[in-house]
Amino acid sequence: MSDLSNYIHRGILDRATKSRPAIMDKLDGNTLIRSLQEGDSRVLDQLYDRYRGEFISWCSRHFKGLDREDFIDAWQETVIAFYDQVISSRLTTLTCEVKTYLFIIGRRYVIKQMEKAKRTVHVDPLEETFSLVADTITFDWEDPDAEKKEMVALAMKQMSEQCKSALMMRFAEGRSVPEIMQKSAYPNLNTVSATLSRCLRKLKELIQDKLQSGYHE
Amino acid sequence: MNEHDMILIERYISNELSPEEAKLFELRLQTEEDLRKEFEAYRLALYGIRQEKKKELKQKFIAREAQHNLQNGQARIIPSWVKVVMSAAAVIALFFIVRNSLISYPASISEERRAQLFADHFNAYQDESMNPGSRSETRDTSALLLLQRAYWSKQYAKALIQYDSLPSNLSGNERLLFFKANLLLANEKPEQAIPVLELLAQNPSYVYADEVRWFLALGYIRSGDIQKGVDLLKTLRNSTHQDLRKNARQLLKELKK
Repeated sequence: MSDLSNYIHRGILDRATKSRPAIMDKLDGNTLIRSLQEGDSRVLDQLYDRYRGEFISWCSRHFKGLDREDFIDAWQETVIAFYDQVISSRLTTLTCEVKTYLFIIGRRYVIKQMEKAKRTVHVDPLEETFSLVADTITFDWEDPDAEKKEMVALAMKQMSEQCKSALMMRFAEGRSVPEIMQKSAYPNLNTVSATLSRCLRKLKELIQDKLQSGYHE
Repeated sequence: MNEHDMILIERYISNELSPEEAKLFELRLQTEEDLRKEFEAYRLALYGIRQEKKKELKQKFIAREAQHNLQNGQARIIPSWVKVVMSAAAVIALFFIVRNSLISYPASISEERRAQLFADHFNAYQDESMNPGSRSETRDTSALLLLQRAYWSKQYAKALIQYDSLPSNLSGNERLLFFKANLLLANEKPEQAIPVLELLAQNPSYVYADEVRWFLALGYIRSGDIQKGVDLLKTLRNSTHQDLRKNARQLLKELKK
């Protein structure tokens, strides 16, 4: 083997096993929203780490009787919900600190967890700063019913990874067609649009098939 | 449901309609049962896509939690029974590591065996996103579409010839290079496929990154560079792609024989 060939091979192995470093040192809510809208999902990791410890401590003080694992789970759901709200354009600007916003969402997740588990836990009233902004946040719990959810999940499993990747970029990450073309190296915009349309229709048809066969069984 | 209405729904959910068009569409949704049913299926598809993204994020955060636990020395608060189980698991893992290191992979394999392994494991990559389809844009007879059609119908020799007819501005396109590498492998030209795949493997965030390593490993093995192939297959044993993970493990097992 030549030195160059070995060098390339070592580089490929290194890249396959290492992760990329974080990029932002300072997190301002609206900068963060813009970064997420522009498709920079790495800032989400920073957000996750930034307030994770504080959130767990805060929950430990306010929700007696729940486990640390419950708080971590709620924190994960909180950051995911925040991401979802930004990407779906339901949240475009913040009028309060990002931490306040996240803790209000997180608090609701913890309360929801308690309701699910039918646990009776003492809940402290909201702190004053939280109370001021809590009412301004709309919260989306809307989900299809359990049967439909299951059919959708089954249909998703039948989709190819590349179709899923293209659809997620467009409809879950909010990327534009030119961005997808660049990121996934499609030859032109028409191919991206045709791929998205074909993949979306396939998914829709799979769901329709599953719903029909499921309802008839 | 007619094509026009399906396009209309797709444009609506992609926020591509003007406010007036969107308003008109919403009015139709209130009065047309068929349109509403079709829209509901699309809405469920979008729900599925968003759930998939949430699942991906959740997995990412769970992995991040494991990192946090390691960094913060969570071992200190692990109950003693968990420690016993972990110790047993560590001993078992050590056993397998030692056993695996003793059963080493051969440095060379006969041409016949390499050809057999390659034939058993190589299938040129295909997925729905590469389907040239039957929509209006495919009436186009550009070199790219002809290439896609030949590739999709598994006419790999023809597709390789077609590849050379592509305009020069497409020659550096990573997605097309991935097809090219597959075509070279399918046409028994691993030595030419390897440099293309090595180039693509430099980019770990490439959408086909894991597939590139799989095909590169096959290329190495076919051309006799067994160690490099084994190295890459090992990186795929923990791939998030279930099929690749399974294939890599199976091929590693067969290489030991």
